[in-house]
Amino acid sequence: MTHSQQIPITQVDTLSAAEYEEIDHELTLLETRQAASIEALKIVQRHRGWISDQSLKAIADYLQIPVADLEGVATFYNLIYRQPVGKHVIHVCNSVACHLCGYDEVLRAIKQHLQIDYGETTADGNFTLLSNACLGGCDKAPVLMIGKEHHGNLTSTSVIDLLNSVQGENLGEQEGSKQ
Amino acid sequence: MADNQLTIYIDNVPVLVNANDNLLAGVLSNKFDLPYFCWHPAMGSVGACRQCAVTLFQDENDTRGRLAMACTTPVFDGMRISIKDLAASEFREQVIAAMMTNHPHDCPVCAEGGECHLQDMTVMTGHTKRQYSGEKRTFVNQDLGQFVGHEMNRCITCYRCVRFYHDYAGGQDFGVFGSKNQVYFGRHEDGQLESEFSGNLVEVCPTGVFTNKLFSEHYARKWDLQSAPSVCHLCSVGCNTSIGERYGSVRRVVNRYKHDINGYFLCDHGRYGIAHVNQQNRMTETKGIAASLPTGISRTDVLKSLAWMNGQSLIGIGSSRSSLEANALLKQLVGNEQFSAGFSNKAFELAKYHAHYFDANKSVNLHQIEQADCVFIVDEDISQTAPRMALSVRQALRNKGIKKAESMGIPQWQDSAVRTIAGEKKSPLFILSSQPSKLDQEAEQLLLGSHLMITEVLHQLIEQDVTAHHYCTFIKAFIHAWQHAKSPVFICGWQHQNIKAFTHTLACIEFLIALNANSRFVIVPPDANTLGQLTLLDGKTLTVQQAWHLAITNPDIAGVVVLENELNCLTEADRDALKHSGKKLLVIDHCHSELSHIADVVLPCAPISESHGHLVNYQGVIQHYFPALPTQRPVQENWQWLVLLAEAVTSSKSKWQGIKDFHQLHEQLATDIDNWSISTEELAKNIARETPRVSGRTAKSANQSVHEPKVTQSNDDGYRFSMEGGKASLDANMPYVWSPGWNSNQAISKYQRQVNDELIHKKDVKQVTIDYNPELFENSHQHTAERQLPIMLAWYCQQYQSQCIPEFQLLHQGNQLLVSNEWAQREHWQQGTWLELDIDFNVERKSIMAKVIIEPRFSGLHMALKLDEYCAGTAELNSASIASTSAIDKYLTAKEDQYQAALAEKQATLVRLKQKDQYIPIRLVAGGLDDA
Ligand code: SF4
Ligand code: SF4
Ligand code: FES
Ligand code: FES
Repeated sequence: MTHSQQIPITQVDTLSAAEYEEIDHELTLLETRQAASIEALKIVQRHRGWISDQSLKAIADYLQIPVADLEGVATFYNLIYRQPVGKHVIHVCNSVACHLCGYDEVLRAIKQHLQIDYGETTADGNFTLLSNACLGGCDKAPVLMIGKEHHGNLTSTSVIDLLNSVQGENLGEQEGSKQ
Repeated sequence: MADNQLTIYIDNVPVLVNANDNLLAGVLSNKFDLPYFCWHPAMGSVGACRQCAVTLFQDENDTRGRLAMACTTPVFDGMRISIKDLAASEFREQVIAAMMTNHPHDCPVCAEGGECHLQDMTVMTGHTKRQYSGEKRTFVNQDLGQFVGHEMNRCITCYRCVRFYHDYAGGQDFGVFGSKNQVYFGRHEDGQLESEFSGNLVEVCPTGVFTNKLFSEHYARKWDLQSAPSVCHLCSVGCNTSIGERYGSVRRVVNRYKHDINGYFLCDHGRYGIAHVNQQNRMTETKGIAASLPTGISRTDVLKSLAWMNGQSLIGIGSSRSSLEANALLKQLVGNEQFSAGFSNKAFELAKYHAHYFDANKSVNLHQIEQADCVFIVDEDISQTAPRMALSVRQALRNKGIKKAESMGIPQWQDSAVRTIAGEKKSPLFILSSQPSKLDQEAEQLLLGSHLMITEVLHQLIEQDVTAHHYCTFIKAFIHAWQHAKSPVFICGWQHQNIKAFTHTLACIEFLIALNANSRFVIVPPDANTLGQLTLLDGKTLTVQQAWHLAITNPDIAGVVVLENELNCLTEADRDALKHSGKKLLVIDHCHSELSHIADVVLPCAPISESHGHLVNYQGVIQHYFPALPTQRPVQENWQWLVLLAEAVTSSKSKWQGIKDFHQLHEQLATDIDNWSISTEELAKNIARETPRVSGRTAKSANQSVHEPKVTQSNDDGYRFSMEGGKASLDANMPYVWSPGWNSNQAISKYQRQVNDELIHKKDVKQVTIDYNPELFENSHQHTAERQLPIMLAWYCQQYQSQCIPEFQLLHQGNQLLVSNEWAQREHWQQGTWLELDIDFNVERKSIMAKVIIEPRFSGLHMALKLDEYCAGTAELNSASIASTSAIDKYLTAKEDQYQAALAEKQATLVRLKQKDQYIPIRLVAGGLDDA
């Protein structure tokens, strides 16, 4: 590859037949192809756990929209993961109500227990830790979300129990991601 | 005052505002200071930054009022607002304070410093104390290619960049990513910005996130720049620019607001193309002139060395990249019978037709194009040949959506609402062309095929023949749309130099007028002054080839004078023939070419940044450009050399002898030429080219001499090479924009009658008339149409002067042969196959390499060649064969070498310029060779 041929040749994945089929279904419901952006990202993430650069390009190609546009959508939404994540993704609310009600201690406890910081995944691949804007559970602050479940009124000790129970559940099930 | 005005009260002062615009525009139109970020005069409001808060009162009894964002608030008669109110001003200060929590305090190393809207607004709100002590958010910057630097930490999230690049200019490789406190503006990955308007990010962004890379590398603060009003010389649109200089070298070009043409935006060719004046191939020395003193040549030296000219008959070849007056002067010098306007045989045919069909009244300016509701483009890729015009066409396509929003009571300035309502709705665009273009995606109907197909479609269109099933969808839809449009615009041009297609295209004009009396037309010529050249044509004017031949064969002719023309329509054999004939060749130019290398006499002239002149744009509008810096001996302005030549040819007592300045030159031209359309009315304002706070005025050259140099002056143009003189705001041709408290280009609202309106000092538009009515031979060139291979050149390969810029050469992507499915199948070519093509370029037959790109939208058997190199002519394909691996390797190695060479030259240029800063010529000469 010489400099003068600047067009980057990045591998573009093809999507699976199942993924195409699901996206096609969404397309029949929507006015424009672009409108299917979020659904298509969710579909591919359901199949692959996260959205890689290649998947992003493949979806953009299929929807006939610029990659930059789709990347804008993908990075805007908290629940679309642009990096590989663990089996359980913890979204800790860091908005005002939670901040006032003990967010700091809860977060410290999680970090200490799992030995990871925001944006990181535990070595065993079980947990990824992310922050989130208000989860809409201010009356139960501090709040976090694991997978699709909200958990409120947390303390630095109850949150560890919670993590242990999720991990235990996971060991019992032995079936991978719950998403 | 325009109609549709109403009265509002700003802090109890009654003022008139435009009823159709928002409150912020009304406030600024009345020259009040109110901070803002996200609102842009050309892009309207989105209410993203909350900076423009004012207090809005219920009525005159309301003393408390409520906060309102001026940019999203419509005006009504009797409206009462306050800017000074404490609640509003505290709010504005706090908005800045919040932005500052993340903004790095890096003004000293920021290229925006000194002309930064964020600096200005921060001062304006009175936020003068740093209150935040937490951590700042940081980002990783991107490499956005050759032109635009990226420093995301400076971002204040106003969204202007993405609204310009993506929404306004249709760029696809730029977006906004992330959310909350982590919002990122850039590409999805590192890489060259693809839009030909990327440089506008520098002016649109109110902070230093996006900066002009070339300027940053050889940098000066805005307040240290010496600037002059100029006109872009790189295409026929004639955008107004401002050229900035420091220490004797040009630093940058910025947009200069012109209501009817470029408004607030330039294309990248105009912004970065100026770099050619700093390149290695600039001419700085004379050739063939013997100096009598070691200090350099004098007028007498020139006259002595050119004594052979006295009383002789000469051929003069002008150029459409040179000024109107220099060409006119050359024609005076050599006489009508021996003058060529610089058109080749082929181009001359196009010129005749253009002259015949040109009608200033039926043509439209860019502002009017933006009002169009139906556009038809035939065989001209304006996105590359006249980029700024393509940007206007994009705005025109929005009119359908804007109208729909209006019908729902939503004014045009409500940008995001209007865009949402418009959705995919676009005013109709029809494109009929021999090559794809960046506007294709926006077209309602698109037909891409051979020139033969184009002529057929146009023929059927005129016949209103909708039976031929191939093109009938296009024709039917087109006729319907054109008939129902209120202001349809038709655009065509010279690009492919296919006389048959061109004449068919122009023949449409009558039909289109019959279809819709409001039809307007744009014919895009190739160069900045092509229209000026059309005014010089008469029945005797020669083509380049005719002139050259005459010089060789006619024993009475002593030589050829070529003015700023590389004459790429001549073959090597032609050039040799002149040499062998013993006739002299005299070249006046500012950059080297094959021609200058063989010339007997070379006289280096000033490029646009150092000279005076007028250019005539596609619409026939005559525009004046002024030098940003004086010439440096022995370089002279083109007309100064020509005046000297005139003296050498006639006799020492010639009428040209007394001509010392530009004003006298025009007086003489007006006596000599009937209807000379230019008067250099005395500006007498003597506006300072330097800002009032320029630093080092007397110390700039102190490393060479402690004596304060005499200030170079030429008093004929209304501008002074000095910080002393009239204010920049005194004239419509302002050298730069600045207003107290407004150091950035946003100061423009202080120069406009009201926001988006004409400039306060607007002058009457001067337009040329073309009286030339040649005989037109309808069928003389038919045979050339069929075999022609359309050539596609990117904007950075369009002009001889600018294609040498290393930053432009680094954009080359390799030749591509675009072929239709049918061709590919017939020849068994795959996407990406390398071919060796045997091509006849008129002047030479060449073998070139190109990669196959299958273009499924091409109809029938059709091909187009996308070339990396500047090429002025047309081409015919003799044969094509699949290239051998060794040939491919050789080509790719050569490309890689070129790439490395361009990189090295880019570095070398920078080193040379920085060295030059240390040796500012103490005496720059404005008054000619003997100005002491
Ligand atoms: S990069 Fe500049 S224009 Fe874009 S959002 Fe940030 S401050 Fe505004
Ligand atoms: S559109 Fe043409 S005139 Fe305007 S800046 Fe670009 S090259 Fe120059
Ligand atoms: S602030 Fe945490 S749930 Fe609302
Ligand atoms: S300028 Fe009004 S909100 Fe930004």
